[in-house]
Amino acid sequence: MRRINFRPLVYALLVVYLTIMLLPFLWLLVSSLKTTPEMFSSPFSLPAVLRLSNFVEAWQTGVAKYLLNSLLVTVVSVVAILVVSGLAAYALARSQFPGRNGFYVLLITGYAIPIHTVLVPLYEMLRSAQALNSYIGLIGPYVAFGIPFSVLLLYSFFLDFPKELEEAARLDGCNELQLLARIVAPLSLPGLSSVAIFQGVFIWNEFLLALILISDDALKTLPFGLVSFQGQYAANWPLLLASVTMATLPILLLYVVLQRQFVNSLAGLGK
Amino acid sequence: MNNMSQNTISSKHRSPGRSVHIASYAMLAPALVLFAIFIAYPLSNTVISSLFEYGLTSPTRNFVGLQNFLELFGDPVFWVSFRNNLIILLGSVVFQVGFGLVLAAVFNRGISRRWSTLARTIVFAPMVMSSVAVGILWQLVFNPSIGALDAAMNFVRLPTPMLGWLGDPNLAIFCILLVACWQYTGFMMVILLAGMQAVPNELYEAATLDGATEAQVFFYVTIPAIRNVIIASVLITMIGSFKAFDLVYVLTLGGPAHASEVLGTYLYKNAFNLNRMGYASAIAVVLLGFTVTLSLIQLRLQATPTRSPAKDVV
Amino acid sequence: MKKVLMVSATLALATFGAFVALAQQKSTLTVWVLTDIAPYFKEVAAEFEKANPDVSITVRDYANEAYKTAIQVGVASNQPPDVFYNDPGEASFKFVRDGQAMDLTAAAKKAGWDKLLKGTIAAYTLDGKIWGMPYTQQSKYYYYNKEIFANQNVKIPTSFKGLLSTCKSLKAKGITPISFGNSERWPGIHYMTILNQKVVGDAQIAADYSLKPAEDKLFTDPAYASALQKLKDMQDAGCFNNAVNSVSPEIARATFYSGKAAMTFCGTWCLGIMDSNGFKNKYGIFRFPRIEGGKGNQGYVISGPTGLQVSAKSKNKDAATAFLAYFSSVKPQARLVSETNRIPVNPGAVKGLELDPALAAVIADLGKASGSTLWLDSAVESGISDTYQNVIQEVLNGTQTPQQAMVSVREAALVSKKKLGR
Repeated sequence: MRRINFRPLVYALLVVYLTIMLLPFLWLLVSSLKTTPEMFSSPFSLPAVLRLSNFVEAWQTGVAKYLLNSLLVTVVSVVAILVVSGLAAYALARSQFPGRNGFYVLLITGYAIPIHTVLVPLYEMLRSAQALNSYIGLIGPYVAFGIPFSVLLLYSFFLDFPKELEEAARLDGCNELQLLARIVAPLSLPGLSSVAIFQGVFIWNEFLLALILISDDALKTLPFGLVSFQGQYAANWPLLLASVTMATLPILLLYVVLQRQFVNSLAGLGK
Repeated sequence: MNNMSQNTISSKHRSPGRSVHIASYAMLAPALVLFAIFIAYPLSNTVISSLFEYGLTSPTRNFVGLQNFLELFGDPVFWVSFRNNLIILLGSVVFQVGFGLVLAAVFNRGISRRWSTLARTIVFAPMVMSSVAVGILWQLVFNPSIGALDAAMNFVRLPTPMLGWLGDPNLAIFCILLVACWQYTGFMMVILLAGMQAVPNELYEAATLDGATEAQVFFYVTIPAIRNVIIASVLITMIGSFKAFDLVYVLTLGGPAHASEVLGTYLYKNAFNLNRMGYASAIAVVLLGFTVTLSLIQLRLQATPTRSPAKDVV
Repeated sequence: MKKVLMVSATLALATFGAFVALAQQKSTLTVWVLTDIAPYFKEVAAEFEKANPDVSITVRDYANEAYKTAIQVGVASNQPPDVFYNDPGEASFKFVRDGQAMDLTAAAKKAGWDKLLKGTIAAYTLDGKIWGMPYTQQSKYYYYNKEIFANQNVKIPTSFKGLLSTCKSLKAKGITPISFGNSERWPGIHYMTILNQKVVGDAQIAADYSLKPAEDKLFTDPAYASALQKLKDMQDAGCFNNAVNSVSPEIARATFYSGKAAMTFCGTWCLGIMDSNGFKNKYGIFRFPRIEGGKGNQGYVISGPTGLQVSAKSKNKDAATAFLAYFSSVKPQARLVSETNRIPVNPGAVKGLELDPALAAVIADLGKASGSTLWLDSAVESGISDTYQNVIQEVLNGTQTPQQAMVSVREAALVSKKKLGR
C-alpha cells in the first residue's frame, strides 16, 4: 500500500492558519504607534515615526489605574477561591459525612449557571447592601462563581492524591489543620496553580459584572476601562489601540513565561 | 449519581467520627455560604422577579404572573436572540472543537517539538486576551473605511459587503462567530492535545504496525481514546455559547436592529436600558433552562462506568 | 509667659476646632456629565468651589453610549449623583414618574430661569413643574466643506430636491456627499426628527409623540412612512457613504473633518469638535432644506436644550440648586461659548463676545427660524424611541420597507400608551 505524504500540505495549511492568528496582533502593534490621520490615510503602512506618546497618553489617561484595579480584584479573588474551593474539595474527596454527595452535586451545578441569570437580583442585592461601586461587591460574586469549576478540578486532583502520605502524617501526630497546611497544600501545588491560572484569566477579563456593578471611573477594571475608552476616543484609534496593547501585554507575557503551567492546567480539565 | 455512590463505597477507608464530620462541614461551609449568597439566593430572586413588571428606577413593582413569559415567547427579538445563540453554539462546536481536534492531532503527531511550542503559543495567545480587547481589535478589522478585511478582499478582487461586515444583518452574527473562533480554538486545541498526550503510545505503535494510515489512526485510535475529553470540550463550548456577551456588546451591541442580538445582550438591554427588570428576569429564567438542560444531557452522555465520577462530569 | 503660652495654645486649639467643624459641614456634590463637555464642567465647578468654600464638587464623566446605562444604574443606586446631565422630554420625565428627580420649580423662580432662552425650560416642564435646568441649546445642521463646494462649483441646496441633485453630482465625481455613521442608532433618529416635522406636520407629530390619539388613530398617518422614505431617497440618490449602519458617528465626523466627505449632518456640539481637529473656518453650515409638499411648517429647525437634573435622593439639595443657579449665570455661560463653542441659554452671555463665525451663523439662523421641533428620541417614550431607532437601521439596510417599519413603531406606541395609561 502506498502512502501519500500529506505532511507538506499540513505544514502549509498550518502556516496559513498561524499567519491569520498572528496578523491581528501585528496590526494592533503597528497601528498603536501611528497618528490618527496616518491611520485614515494609510492604514497598512508602517508608521512614519514611532509614536510612543500614544502609550504614555493612554497610561496616564487611565490604563495605569484600570490595571491596578484589575490586579487587585484578580489577586484577592483568586486567593479566596483557592482557599474556599480547596477546603471544600478536600472535604468532599477525603471524608464521609451525611449529605456529602448532595453538597457535591449542588456545588458543581453552579457551573451551568451563567452570571447573566443573576444579574438583576445581584445588582439589587448589592445596592441594598450599599456595596455597588466597591471592590468587595465585585470580588464576592467572582469568588462564588469561581467555586464550582475549582471544586470540580481540585476534587479530581485530591482523589488521585496518595492517601499513604496523609496516613503517615496522622501517625506522626499531625492534626487536620497541620496536615492541610504542611502536607496537602504543598503537594497540591500543580492542582492549585491550575485553578489559579484558570480563574485568574477569567476574572482578569471579566466584563459584564464590572459593567453593572461599577460606575465610578476610579474603580473600573481593565475590560470596562477599555470599553469606556472606546466610547471616549472612538475616532482616536491609535490611542485606543495603545490601551488595548497595554492591557494585553502583561497577561500575554505572563502566558509566554508560564506556558507549560498554562497547558498543564488545562490538561487537568480533560483528564 | 450512580458514579457518586460507587465512589462513596471506595473512599470508606476509615470510620469517620463525629468530630471529623464537624471538621468536614466546617471546611465546606465557606463555599456553601458564598454559593448561597451570590448564586442560590439571587437565582431564586430571578425566578420571583420574572413574575413582576418593574423598572430599575421605579419605586413599586406589579405582579403580572406568567405575563412576561407569554410576551417573551411571542417576542420576535427573543427568537432572533435564541437563534443567534444556537448559531454561535453550533459554529463553535463544529469549528472550535472540530478544528481544534484536527490541530491537536497535527501537533501531537505531526510536527517537531520546537516548532510545536512556538505554534502552540500563537494559537493559544488570544485566549488570554480579554474579549473586550479582542472585540475592539476586530471592530477595527471589520471597519468599512480603514479595516483590514475590506483591504484584503479588495486585494484579492473579492466583493466587500455593501452594508459593512458588522452592519449587514445577515453577516453580523457570523462575524462575531468568526472572532469567537479566532479567540477560543486554541483553547480547545490545548485541552484536546493534553488528552491526546495521555493516550498510551503503545496504542499508536500497534496501529502503525498494522499498517494504519495517519487518518485511520486519528479516527480509530485517537478519537475513541479521548472520547470523554471531547465531550468535556463540547460541554464547555456549549455552555460558553449561552454565556456570550462581551464580544457582541463590543462589536455590534446586538445590531443592526437586533440582528446580532443574543440572549445575554437582550437581557442586559431590557434590564439596564429599557427599564424592564421583570422581563429581563424572565429571559434569565429561560436562559438558565437551556444551560441546565444542556448539562443534564452531557452528564447522561458521559456516564461511562470505567472512569471516576468527577472527571466524567467536567 | 506661661499664661501667654496657655492662651495661645487655647486659641490654637479653638481655631483648629473651628476648622474641624467647618470641614465637617462641607458638603460634597457629585456631578455626572458626558465626556466631551467634562473639562468645561470641571472649570466651572472649581470657580463655584472658590466662591463657596463649604462645597466641594466631584465631576465624573462618561462616554455617550456608556452613560445611558450608567445613569439608570446610578440614579437607582443608594449613592446617586446629586446633579446629572439628562436629555429633555421623556428621558427626564421618566425619572420624574419614578420619583427619582427633584422638583426645581422653586429653585427656578429664585434663580430667574424664566429669562433663559425661550422654550428651553418648557422642555423640562411636566405638569406645570420644572424638573431640569437647561444649560445649552442644541440643534443640528449640515456642515459643508467650503473647499469641496468651491472646487466642484456646488451651491448650498435650498430644497430637498436640490439636496438630492447635489448628492448625485458630487457622487458622480467620486466624492462622498454626506458622511453618515449610524452604528449607534441616534444619528438616524435625528434625521427622522426633522423629516417627520417637515413631512408629517407639527400638529400630527405633537399628538402622536405624546400618545394622545385614540388607539386606532395612533401613528396611523401614512406621512410617517413617506418621511422614512425620504431618508431612503437620500440613500438611493447616493448621498451617504456605504455601510452606514456599521460606521460610528465619530468615524463619520472624522471622515468629514479629514476632508473626505463634502457634508455631514451634525449637532451644534460638533462645532467645537471641528475646531479642535484643525477644521476651524474651513466649513460652513446650512439648515436642513425645505421639503416640497411636506405638511409641516418648512421654516422649522431641530432644537432642544441639554440640561441638568437633581436627584430626589440627594443629601445636598441646597448646594445642588445653588450650583445650578450659578451654572445658569452669565459668567459660566459666556465661558461655555468661548471654550466649547456651544449655544448658551442665558441670552446675556453672548453680549460683547466675539463669536466663532459658524456659531454666529447658527445662532442667527436659529433666530430666524419660525419654530423648532424637539429631538424625536427625547419627545417619545423610551420604548418607542428604541423601536424607531431599530427600524431606521432596517430601512437603511433595505430589510424593511418604510410601511413595515411604521407598523412596528405603531405597535411600540400602543404598548407605551397602555403602560403610561394615557
